[in-house]
Amino acid sequence: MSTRLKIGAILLSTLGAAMACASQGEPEAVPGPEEKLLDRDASTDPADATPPVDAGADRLDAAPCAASGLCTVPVPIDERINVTSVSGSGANDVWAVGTERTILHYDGVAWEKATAIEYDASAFTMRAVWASAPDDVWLTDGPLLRHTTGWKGPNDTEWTSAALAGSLTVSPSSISGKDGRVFVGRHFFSFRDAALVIADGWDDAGVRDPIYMLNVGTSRATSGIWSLAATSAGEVWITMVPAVPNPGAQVFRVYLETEDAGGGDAAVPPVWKLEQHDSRTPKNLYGVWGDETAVWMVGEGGTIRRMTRERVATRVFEIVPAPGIADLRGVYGFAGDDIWAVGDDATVLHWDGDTWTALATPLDGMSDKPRLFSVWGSGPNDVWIGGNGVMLHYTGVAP
Amino acid sequence: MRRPSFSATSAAALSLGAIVACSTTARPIGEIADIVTPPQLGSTEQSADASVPGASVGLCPSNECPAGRVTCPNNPFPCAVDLSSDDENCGACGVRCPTDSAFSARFNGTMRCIGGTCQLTCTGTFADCNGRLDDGCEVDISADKAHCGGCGIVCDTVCQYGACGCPPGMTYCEYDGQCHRLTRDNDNCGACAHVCPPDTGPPLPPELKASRTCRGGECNTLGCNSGLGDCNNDLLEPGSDGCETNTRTDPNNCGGCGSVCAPGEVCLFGECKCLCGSSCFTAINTDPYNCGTCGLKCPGDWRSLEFTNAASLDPAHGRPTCEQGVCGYACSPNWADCDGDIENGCETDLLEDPLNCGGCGVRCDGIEGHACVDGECLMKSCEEVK
Repeated sequence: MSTRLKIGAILLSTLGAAMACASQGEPEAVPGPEEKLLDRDASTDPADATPPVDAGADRLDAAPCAASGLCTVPVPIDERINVTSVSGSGANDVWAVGTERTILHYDGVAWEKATAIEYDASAFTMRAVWASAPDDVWLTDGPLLRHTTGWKGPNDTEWTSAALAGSLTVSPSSISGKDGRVFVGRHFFSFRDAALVIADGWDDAGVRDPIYMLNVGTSRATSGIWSLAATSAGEVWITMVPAVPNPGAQVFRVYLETEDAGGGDAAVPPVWKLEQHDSRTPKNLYGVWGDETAVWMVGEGGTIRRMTRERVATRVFEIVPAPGIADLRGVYGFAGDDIWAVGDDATVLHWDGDTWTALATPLDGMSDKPRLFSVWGSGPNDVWIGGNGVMLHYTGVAP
Repeated sequence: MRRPSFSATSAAALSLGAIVACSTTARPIGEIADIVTPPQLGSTEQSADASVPGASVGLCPSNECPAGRVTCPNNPFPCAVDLSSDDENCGACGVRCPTDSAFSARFNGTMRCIGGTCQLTCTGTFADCNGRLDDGCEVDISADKAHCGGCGIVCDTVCQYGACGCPPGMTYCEYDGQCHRLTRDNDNCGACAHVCPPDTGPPLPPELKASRTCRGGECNTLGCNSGLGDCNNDLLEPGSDGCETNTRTDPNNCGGCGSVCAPGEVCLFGECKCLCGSSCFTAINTDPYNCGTCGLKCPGDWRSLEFTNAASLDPAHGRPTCEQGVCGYACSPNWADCDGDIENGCETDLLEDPLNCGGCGVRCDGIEGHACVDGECLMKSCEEVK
């Protein structure tokens, strides 16, 4: 197991020593401004305080639930598997994918692991899963896209596959969609490949009517799309990582010039426009999520950026302070005052409309806290977080 | 991810903890900057305000460098220079051991500060066999017959790749002092200096893509042109399609007829390869060039892996990693990515930086010029400081 720098560890050790000597009492819990479970329980309570780093706690020994309401749940994987993406169509149809072509499904009762799709190739890391409905589930598998019309158990779920146009080494990295339209982001070796593919769904022939956006990213400066999120059928937000050794992560908005083009004159093809936006940071942004009111991006060093709808014309993101410096990998939300972000060192953050707050997790006592990569939920009280050998669940219920 | 040496970090943390616990002063040493605010615990200010009744021996911040350490004008940090090993201050402040590329190119080596003096260190396959500094590392031991693989190792024939003798499949020929492949060399066919006579056979139609050359050590033997194969074995028959197979690209005849590539591999230049190279089946979960999928090169500062030079073997103080099929970034021991930007690698020296002493945001600011030495804020007994 790798050793990781623990800023928290330094604090814990230092503070642990300090607290041991302090005879004038324990630090008081600081109630949050609201009575929401999330905020209240994230505050300091000595009874719930994280055990010292050298307590030797590991994943199995950790209590299943933290005071914040985040709980670990049984999942048929171990630390060799990184859960890289979580998505679903509802509380009883949740999908997760990860290392070694791992596919997981939750039916409202338990997580099950699917038998690997037969494929004579490497044990790719499935980078993304996206479900618009129980019968419309997409995922990435090396150079291929896979699609299923529904979970039929670990051994009987049926998959069809499709390869998008491009060189052999271009790989889908991210999937998102809205109202029948699907956006697929891709990594590439060759800058001639299209980083973004826009489709109208999946049919018997595979990806329906794909449009290849060749102009996303500035030629050789990027190595493709790291993450994307659709806010409507006519808009997607994209983060790109720089191609080594070119510096500078990039952020784009791709949108239909007229949102109703799909329902208008069939002879007039939709016209997709591309805008580069200023994220006000050179740091990599690994996660993006948005709705009709705002778009959030998170990334390296605890970087958080927001683009509210009224600021889109400025093309300049707003800097939002974060309560830590761990790299953030995923973001998802339900409303303007209910956004989640997750990242390295078991970091889970929540936005209440005013501030981001770090939440206690059942993983806090671990000496080597796992990375968390993805967050998704069917609603404010059904949030799933996937990471290194772990799945966290928030149901809004105190332990 | 930020991952400097765990030992350094732990040492700093424990040390600071002990200091806070036992100091008679209320001043927190190794103050944590306000970049991390875990919700579970109180702030450092709260903790450090607690004094320990009965403590009789205290430690106070010091700006007096310990033995072996000095402050030099060309280093931004106090007490950061070890004159015995600092290439920029070797033996004394400002005495620089040349490590630049021009020096390296001229002398095939670089100077390193060892024991307070600049000493020549050879690079690559070069060695200093005559012990003279003025010609640097004058011998390439990978190809020098008098120093093959090491100074003074003499070869009777040739020295190739640091070993005496010809590579496998080749034979040393005294007449020209070279290694030849006698099985297919028209000028050394079957034996050194055996030149094949001109081909007097009937001309071959070009569409057969075949020729008569030295093959198997026999002159003027019919066979396919380079990179092609007669995999249906009809070259000598009427109506032959000749050498119909491209053995450089055909995955079913890769490098030779019947040599089938494994599933998922392609045939490139006659070798079966996965799209990700050799990582495909063995290292897809660990290869930062193909992390989890072919062609996904992990982000971050790659200089320590790809652009090393004589001046620094680890210019980024870290390197991209692939952990269980997902990208990460690992810092070299005692370095950290305190600015949260892996494009400049792990830029912070945890052993010397008083603003990040032993860990990001751990400040040594108990006194003006308070030094960070070996990842710990410099402390002495209060009696000594007075």
